[in-house]
Amino acid sequence: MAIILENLTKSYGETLALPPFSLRVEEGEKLCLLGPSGCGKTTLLRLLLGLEAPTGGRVLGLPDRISAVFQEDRLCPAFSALTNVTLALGRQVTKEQAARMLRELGLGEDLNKPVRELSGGMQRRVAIARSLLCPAELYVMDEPFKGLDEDTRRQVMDAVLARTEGKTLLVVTHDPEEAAYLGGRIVRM
Amino acid sequence: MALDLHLLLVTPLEVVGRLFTLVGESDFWRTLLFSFSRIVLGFLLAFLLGCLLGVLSGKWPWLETLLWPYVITIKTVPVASFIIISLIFFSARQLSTFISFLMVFPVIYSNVLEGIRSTDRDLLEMAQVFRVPWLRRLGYIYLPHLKPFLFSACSVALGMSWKSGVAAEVIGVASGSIGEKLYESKIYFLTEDLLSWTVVIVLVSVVFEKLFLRLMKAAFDGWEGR
Repeated sequence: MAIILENLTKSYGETLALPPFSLRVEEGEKLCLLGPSGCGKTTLLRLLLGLEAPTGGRVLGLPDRISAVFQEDRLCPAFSALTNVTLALGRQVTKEQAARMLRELGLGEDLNKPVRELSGGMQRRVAIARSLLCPAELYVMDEPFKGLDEDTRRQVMDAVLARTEGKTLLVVTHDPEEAAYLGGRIVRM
Repeated sequence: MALDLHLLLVTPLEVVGRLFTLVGESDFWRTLLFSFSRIVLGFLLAFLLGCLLGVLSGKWPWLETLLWPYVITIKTVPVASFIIISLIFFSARQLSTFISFLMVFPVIYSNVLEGIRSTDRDLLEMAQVFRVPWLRRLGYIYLPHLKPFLFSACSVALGMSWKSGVAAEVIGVASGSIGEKLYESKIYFLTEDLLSWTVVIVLVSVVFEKLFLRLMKAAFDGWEGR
């Protein structure tokens, strides 16, 4: 089922965070949202995730289960990478599955280290692993590859594409090369 | 008028000497155990209930509204008034537990509630998106955030529990308690005893505080090391 955004808008008082925006995303489509800072990309994702209510317009066909990579990593710093993945997903994922996913993203040596001891790029990969393991119909990612070096970025992008095969993927990015690598449709905001 | 200054002023050496004599008496340990068990029981009950209601008030704002008048009353009414009022309902022997509980509860409750309220919104949003059940949120998101609030609350509340608990024993003249010993010291001008028991209270309070905080730290470290 396609996701349809009709004149979706969000204001905070006098400040217009998202000007009226319409879009149709087909089921299983890969879509990259490109645009300058402050154009409302993150606000749009927050509306899709149900973290904000729109000021105007509506969203149709939003699936029941949505997974996310936020702009920030949003990890529990005192707990290990493995615990961070399993705590968010509970019984939907076994420890072995979580460990395999983290290894796939190059974190095999650091599964049991508290995430506060990991580098920024490693923490980013933990956040991506958590999102990819969530059994969702829609994956929403806000600048997911930020802070990753070139090789790691390619490795992680490949993992994202493989794991979201057949699912709807919506990625916000500033990088046209990144958007081109991910393939699919590019929408400029 | 002749005045025996020894009644009012004693040297530190005399206090230490008297302390050693007291420690050798079996009555000393009985008295210590009497007061310790009751005051610590009051503290622990307040700690548990303060944590529980603090967490629940963070989840359900109506509970905070419901508890607010009680908490503000306990915070503002002088402890001496509470002790005298409580003597109507409790035996003097149980009074220190109740008063210690009463003084500690608002400190723990307010700190836990403050901790819950200031929990990282980003993490709570993450939990909302991934549909993390509330109990798991409590263990992995709220609890680590509550750590500094609990430590700060406990280090204040542990001292308070001893001060208020012993005050209750003195006013209620609880038979077999440290408070009774302090009261007798005052009546019979036993300044050495008064100061020795004061030293005992300070020592036991400090040792218990260190021990409790260390246990709490070990519990947190064990949980977070997962």
